[in-house]
Amino acid sequence: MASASGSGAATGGGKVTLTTSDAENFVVERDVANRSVLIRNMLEDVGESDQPIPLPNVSANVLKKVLEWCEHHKKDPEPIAEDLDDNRRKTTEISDWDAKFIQVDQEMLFEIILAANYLDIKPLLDVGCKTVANMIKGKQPEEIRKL
Amino acid sequence: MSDRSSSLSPVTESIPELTRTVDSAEEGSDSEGDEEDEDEEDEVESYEDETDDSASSASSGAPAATWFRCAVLPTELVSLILDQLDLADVARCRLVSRAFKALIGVLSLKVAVEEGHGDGEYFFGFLTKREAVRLAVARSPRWRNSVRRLELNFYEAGHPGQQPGIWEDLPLDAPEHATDGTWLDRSWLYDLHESFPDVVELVVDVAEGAFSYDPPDFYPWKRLRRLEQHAFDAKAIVANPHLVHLETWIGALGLSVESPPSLETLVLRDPGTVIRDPEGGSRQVDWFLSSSAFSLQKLSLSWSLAYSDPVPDRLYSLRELTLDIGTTEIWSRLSLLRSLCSLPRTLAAFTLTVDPYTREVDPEDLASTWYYPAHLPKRLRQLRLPEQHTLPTAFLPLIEQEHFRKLERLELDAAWSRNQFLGRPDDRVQIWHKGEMLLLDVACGDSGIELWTVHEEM
Repeated sequence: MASASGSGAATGGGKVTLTTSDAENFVVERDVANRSVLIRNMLEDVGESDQPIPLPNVSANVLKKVLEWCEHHKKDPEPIAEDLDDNRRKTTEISDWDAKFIQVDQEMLFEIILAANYLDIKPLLDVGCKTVANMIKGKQPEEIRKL
Repeated sequence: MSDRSSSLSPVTESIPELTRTVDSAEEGSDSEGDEEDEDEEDEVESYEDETDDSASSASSGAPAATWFRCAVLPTELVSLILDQLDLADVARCRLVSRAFKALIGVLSLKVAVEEGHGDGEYFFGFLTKREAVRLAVARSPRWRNSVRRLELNFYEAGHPGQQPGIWEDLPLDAPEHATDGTWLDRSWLYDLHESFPDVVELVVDVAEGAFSYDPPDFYPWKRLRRLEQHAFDAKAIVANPHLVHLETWIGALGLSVESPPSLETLVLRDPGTVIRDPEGGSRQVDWFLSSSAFSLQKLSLSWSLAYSDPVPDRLYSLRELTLDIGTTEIWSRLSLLRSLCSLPRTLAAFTLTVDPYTREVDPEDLASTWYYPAHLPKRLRQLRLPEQHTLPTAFLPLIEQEHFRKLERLELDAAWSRNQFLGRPDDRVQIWHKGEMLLLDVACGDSGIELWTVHEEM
């Protein structure tokens, strides 16, 4: 699991440091961080470096939540883009763990969606979008307005 | 998956009336669509203040409504959310706020053309269709990523159903016409796909059943959830027997079509004229549906010229089946009844209708050929049957069998008068329900349909 650090220290031993928009550092295992295609690409670009990776579009409280998801799913097989796309369009089912994970206030829910989009974590983005869709599904316009 | 499991509504249910029509008469007018837009604007205008309030409350840090948060998401994320919803849900979202409406755009586009017969060069009128499609596309660049439902209505003044005999001089006995690149030109269809790539519902009504001639990749929209395809009236073929030659061409060319793999609802009107081959339609239908075997939930077939065994049994998700066997010859009808034995086991609702004017069925014949079903769908909860004289009493033992133990609703057309029904004076019939023998009660509605509902008590 990620550990927050205020020092902005560099990584070591297969770990990377992520710096949030509010200047908080998170040291995480590389395979956890690799759930983000954005971070993975960055790591590939910079090679072996101790420099923290800045994430200017994600605040600490949101990144903490995102990393919780990445930690739980770090061993999931990498989704094939086509399969993911098909799955996204065909089902609004969410796994039990994900459903519990996404039980957050609406502000956090939408922050997670935006962060997942920015970090390019498609399965998490999928969970977020499905959750919002489930809130809307079957409701009349007036009911949607009251959500 | 979107939850449609609780719905047993007819498969012909339609999407809200968010349609925009582009037809040949409209060519010079650019204002109609805008006017329609204005009408819809009126619907949401009263909520404009709400939108503003939400905007200000969001900027002041107060909680904003979900719909408002959605509306301020980047467009691509809104699309991801809307992709999870049924078209009806998306249509409702469109009425939530002006911001939503602007994001969603036009959901449903109708391209309707009534073509003149022309000079014979393109008696199928394809060129005119292409022009119509180009017109529709040119008028709608900003709808590109929002159209989810596309309805194509191409009617031709020379349609044999409208003017019998007008086809008589056409060179239908020359197969090479089918390969000259003119008749097979579907570029207008691919123009549509390129312009509206996110269509999930497609309604096609082409008078001459032209889709018979397309190659297997005929459906460029691979994510179609609903396909409704109308061929021209089969009676037109009967009245114009030379058209049968066209089917021979199809077989000779080895052309066929297949259903989209994501299809959930399929409505085929007179599919015999669309996808049958010279050697019989059932294998062709089976093959057509096989690519949707795991996705198809609702199937409606109008079967005016049906062949034997018309109900594919390898549809693993089918929940609702509607068969209209129309004027089918009696031998086909008997075959169909036999095929009920192999209805998909997942079926929850089944409606069977026949042409009420075809009364040549001999009850004794039917009784003698009836095969008592061994594998009726055990999840069947809703059954609607046609008039008594077309499905005589031989069918009744079926209803009473244990196989229908979960049946909750039985609708019988008016001809099933209570006195005819097994001659039961008490207007009741025994039926297995949830493992117990129960009684069905007759209720005569004003509509002429007798509704039979299951009593919870003996």
